Amino acid sequence: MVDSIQIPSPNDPAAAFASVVALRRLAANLEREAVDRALESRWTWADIGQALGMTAQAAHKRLSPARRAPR
Amino acid sequence: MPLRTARHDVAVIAALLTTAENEARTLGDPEPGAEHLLLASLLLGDPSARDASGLTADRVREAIVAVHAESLAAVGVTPPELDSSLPPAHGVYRSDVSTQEVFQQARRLARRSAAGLRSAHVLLAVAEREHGTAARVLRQLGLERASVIEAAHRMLAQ
Repeated sequence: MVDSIQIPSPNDPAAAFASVVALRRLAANLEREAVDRALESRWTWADIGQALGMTAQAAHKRLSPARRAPR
Repeated sequence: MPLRTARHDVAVIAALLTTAENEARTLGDPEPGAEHLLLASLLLGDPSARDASGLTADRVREAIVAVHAESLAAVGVTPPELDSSLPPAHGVYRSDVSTQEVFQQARRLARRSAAGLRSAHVLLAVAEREHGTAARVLRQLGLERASVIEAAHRMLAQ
């Protein structure tokens, strides 16, 4: 998916920031998708937290499917 | 501000926020930003934003997707096929800073409006933003911010 990351021209901060925004969106989408797949494969929140470098509680709080559609 | 206008404004804001949030989540953003308020302004009953901009919601949706795709391509990233849409949210409205700023500005602009807050006020408040996704979306649509601002002012002066 990533061939190479080219740093956008420092002369164009607007383009660089737009890329940062788009990468953040992509990372968030990828993270949600990966969590869904992991849960389907019986990963625990401790497993997911470990893979993402956070505690089980933090991973569950931020990424649990039930929390994504706030009540 | 007459009470009737205040009530009207509250109803318009609720409609804008609900629509912007749904649009954001369908496009894969958990919270609406200024670009989603632009979309919401085009979907209100009041046609002033549509008439001033000549835009349709469909074109803006496509432009939002295109801006993000091009910004990824600019750093050599081809996005994988992901189902990025999020289920609809319920309860408390959530929004990012750009949404809150657009609302504040739109309400300031509407302060002297006899008809209260109109969709063209929101269009104007979005077009005044120099940076961010909304500004890039307008450019992607072939619009100059200055022309949109002028068209919105003209529409609101009628």
